[in-house]
Amino acid sequence: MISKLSHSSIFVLDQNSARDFYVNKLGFNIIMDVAVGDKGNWLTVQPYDQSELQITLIPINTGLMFVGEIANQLTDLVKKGAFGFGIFETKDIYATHQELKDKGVEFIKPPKEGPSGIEAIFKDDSGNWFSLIQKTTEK
Amino acid sequence: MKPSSPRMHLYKQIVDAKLYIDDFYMNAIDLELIASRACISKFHFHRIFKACYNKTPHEYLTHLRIKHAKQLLSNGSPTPDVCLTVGFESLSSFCKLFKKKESVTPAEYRAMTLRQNKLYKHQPLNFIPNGYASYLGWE
Repeated sequence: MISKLSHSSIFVLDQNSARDFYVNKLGFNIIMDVAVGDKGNWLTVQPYDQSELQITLIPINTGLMFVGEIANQLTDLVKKGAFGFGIFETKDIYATHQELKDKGVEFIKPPKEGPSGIEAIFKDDSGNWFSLIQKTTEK
Repeated sequence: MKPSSPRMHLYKQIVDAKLYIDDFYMNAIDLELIASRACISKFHFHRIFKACYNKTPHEYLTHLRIKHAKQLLSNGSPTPDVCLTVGFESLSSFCKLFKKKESVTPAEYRAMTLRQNKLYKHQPLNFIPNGYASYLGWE
């Protein structure tokens, strides 16, 4: 039986820019940042309070798993915001929303109360979007 | 319900305090002064900060100093230099706290990560799940 998810991938347009965004804007920790020849880095990050699941920031480089037209199509889709890669939790969404806005993170939707908690939507530097939620039971 | 305007002002003050700690963790930071600048009592400041970030301001400052110390040590900086660079005044208290948090001394952490970095550099694919790396075109 499958016991857990250890890595999850996010496709990014520029790995250096993504590193800066996830580390300096979102405040994530770098777990591994290993150069693999000239093809890019094996770059994994984790949110502040997360200890197991690593998020791999995979550059959409032609010549890696994406070739030619597929790389171009995927780049277009990421830029157009076609991918929502996950839901991040926060202890206090209004403080986190304020902090990320101050750091220049673009919010598509501001915090709004719903049945499962208070939720907002933001984009990363590539165009991928994420939900940010403060669960109702948290506070 | 969305916080009222005074509440939002309070969030702004707490976020500003957190960002101040992020920027100046290496200096002697007077957390009481930060609370007074935010025009709230020390007790109230600590309580709201902890509700937002899951750590008291002092715990967060320590967390940040240790995080940056780990980064510097893994780049090869000597322990006494790291101690001063991240804002600890006493080498013995830095070493004691580091050992408490990381279960190894700063010198042991430095040696361990330098060894690991060397392996990452020379045999990067040994540290990446092989099937995944292969599918990415990294083998």
